[in-house]
Amino acid sequence: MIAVPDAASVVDPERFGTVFDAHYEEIRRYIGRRLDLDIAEDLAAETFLIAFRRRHRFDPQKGMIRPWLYGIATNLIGRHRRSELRRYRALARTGPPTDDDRHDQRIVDQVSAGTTVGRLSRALARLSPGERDVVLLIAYSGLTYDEVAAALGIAYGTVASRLNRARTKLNESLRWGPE
Amino acid sequence: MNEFKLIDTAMPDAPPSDPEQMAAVRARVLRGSRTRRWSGKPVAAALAALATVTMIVAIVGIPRLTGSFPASPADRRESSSGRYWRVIMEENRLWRTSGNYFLRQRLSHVQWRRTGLVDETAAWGPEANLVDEKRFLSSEPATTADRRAWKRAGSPESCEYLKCRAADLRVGQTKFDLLPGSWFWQNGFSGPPLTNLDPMKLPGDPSTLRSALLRFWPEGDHPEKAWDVPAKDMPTKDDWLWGTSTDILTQLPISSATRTAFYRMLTELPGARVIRRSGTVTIARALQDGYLEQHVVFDPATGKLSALEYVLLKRDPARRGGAGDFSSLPKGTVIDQLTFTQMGWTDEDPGLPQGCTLREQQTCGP
Repeated sequence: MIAVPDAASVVDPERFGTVFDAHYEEIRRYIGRRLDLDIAEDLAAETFLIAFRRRHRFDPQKGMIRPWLYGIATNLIGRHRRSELRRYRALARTGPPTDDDRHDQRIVDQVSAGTTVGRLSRALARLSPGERDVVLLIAYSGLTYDEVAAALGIAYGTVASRLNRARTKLNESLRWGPE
Repeated sequence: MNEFKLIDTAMPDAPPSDPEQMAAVRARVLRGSRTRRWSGKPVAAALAALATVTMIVAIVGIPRLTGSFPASPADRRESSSGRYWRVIMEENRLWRTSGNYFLRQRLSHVQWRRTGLVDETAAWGPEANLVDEKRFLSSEPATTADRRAWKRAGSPESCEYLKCRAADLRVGQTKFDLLPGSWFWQNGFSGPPLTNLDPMKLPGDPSTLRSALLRFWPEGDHPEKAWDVPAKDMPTKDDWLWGTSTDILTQLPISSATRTAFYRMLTELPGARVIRRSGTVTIARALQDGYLEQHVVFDPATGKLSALEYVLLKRDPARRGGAGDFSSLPKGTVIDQLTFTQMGWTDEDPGLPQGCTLREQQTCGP
């Protein structure tokens, strides 16, 4: 096809710094919400190193830059599943860090009554790795279902079915799970 | 509040990164940076994949085009200024659906390109430099048999990329793709950057034009290393010249003299052949995969580019079952056709919908 694609996603060495500038913070933040910060820093750097090395494999037909980067980051997180689960279990016991003022304020402002970080953490720990990837990509990155499919290299229908199962589990945990 | 919003709102956030640490990471990442550019493969349709294979099949032909070119345009008045280089075209393409029937889809494109075109250093700038206004005109079963198969499948609605999902372009709808910087379509090849190419200054002589383009071709015995692409994806110099030339012809502002020089240069490439029909001249050459042939069609009286076509040469066993599987179609079928109705400078702005700005660099509508 010769027509212009939906997104221009040409990556070259000279311009890769711009890709880094545009996306590093959000990728680091995404990883940092799933893993401890010291691991997240390393994995964020690793995400961009991999992206740079594999830029010739980037295929805009399969999606744009953001899903591609989130896909790499999610794969790297997959090597640290146990760390992620440990984190959720710790959060389930203790709640969010007390020094996160911004977070505390948002909780006060926005979270509906009866919902706690503990419940959410327990619920997230109950999800399968595949379900958790899909849920957290949508929740934290705002990717569309199509983009999540592109990021993870799975079918659109697989995204939908994982989400369906995950939402059922999340609702059960939030509604009936222990406080 | 749905589950996703709840998770985003409630779960602990990561603190912002330390600027010094971020700078160190940035330097570390970019230290791996080589000096050459990689450019993306073509996108948007199954044809894209068809352009990226390795086998080279030459179509034997002897280009003879004497008398088919327009007269020298030196005395022809042509506007060479305006805020946008505008290309108006209609696309007519064939898709194979998962129901094993074919759809013909028609889309109109109006592309506004701002100047500063292929200066790659300017890419990823703050504002979009290319607007592609795309209207989905029609989507119909290609033949009577295809219509019967489509009805048996329940007469499903088709969208721009066949299966309709939320926000997909539907028949009758228009959307605007806003593309960043000096975005330039390259014909399936990773390859040399056309850094600082000023297309309006390209020469009007075929051999000089060829030399001007080949200055972007990396020197040495292993250009794939300079391009940072696998050797199997490396086009020949002639394939690259063909692809780059058709890309420039169809997208960038060039003078009439340069356009004519391109036609002459293309006919001289190995494997090119010339087909004369009433009122048109076609320069045909197989794509490097050997399964499709690209046709550059122009009006010999005016030199204007009329169409760019992809024509089926033979069955591609590697494409069985996908949207690019044209194995049941006869040789010579036009798989994709771009018909150009207007190319030129304009000061007219694209009529972007309210709230859609060049700064957003994203799709607007439907």
